[in-house]
Amino acid sequence: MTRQAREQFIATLAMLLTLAVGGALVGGLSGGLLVPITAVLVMAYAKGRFVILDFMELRASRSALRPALLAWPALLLSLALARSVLVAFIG
Amino acid sequence: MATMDDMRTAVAKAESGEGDCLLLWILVWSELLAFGALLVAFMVMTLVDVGNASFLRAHLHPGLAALNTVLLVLSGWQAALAVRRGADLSGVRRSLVLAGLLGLAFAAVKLAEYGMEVRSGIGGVGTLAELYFLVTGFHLLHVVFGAAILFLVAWRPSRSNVVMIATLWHAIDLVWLVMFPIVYLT
Repeated sequence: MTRQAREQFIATLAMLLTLAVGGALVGGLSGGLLVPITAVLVMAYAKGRFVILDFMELRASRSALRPALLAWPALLLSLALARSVLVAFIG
Repeated sequence: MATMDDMRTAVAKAESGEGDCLLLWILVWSELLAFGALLVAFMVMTLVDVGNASFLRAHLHPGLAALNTVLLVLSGWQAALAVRRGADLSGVRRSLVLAGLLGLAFAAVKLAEYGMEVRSGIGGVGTLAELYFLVTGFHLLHVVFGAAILFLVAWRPSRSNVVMIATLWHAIDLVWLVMFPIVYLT
């Protein structure tokens, strides 16, 4: 692994840890409000994206696997957001 | 009828690991689809049974789940590092063992969390509690099984096995990253 690749790899870990702690803090203080919940879900998607692109090494991939994998967390987290919107406005 | 060229192509694919790769991604997608269905079921149940969903949320421990997120991210990082170490066998072994140990630490924290939750009486919320234990327990089994495979591959590390278990480990990691906000935070 080159020095630049190693530095980028460590930066990915730092981003993931920051998002993990930040997401938990924002989620813990959200109080059921929609804006912090949306922030938590966006941060969760960002974490998933880092894992797919950098840990699974699909950043440079042109195969259909990459968008398909990225769609999996996007779909589930969008459903979670829709559920939160429903609870906030209806229930 | 297979010709000599077909056979040569099949052998070349097997040697390059292309065939293994297809099976690996089929396995990854079967995991993602199974967990996706379970998470959708959990979200629907929290909409149907809002009262019990609030009770369940109030008795979960998002702090411990956040600690587990950090453990699993560090573990995934070590697994990815093992793939990048290439021919450095002792480095590959070290990374895989560390990844497995962090996976076991995740399991220990999760079991401690289960103990607290059961004592607080969340079993009384019925189907929703059953779904919570099913989704998180199924994931926990994957973590424990994955950690065992990580140790096994660390004992006999071949390039294809290291790539295979690292990719599966990342899929388990990805499932947790999506499950955490859905179950604990939103």
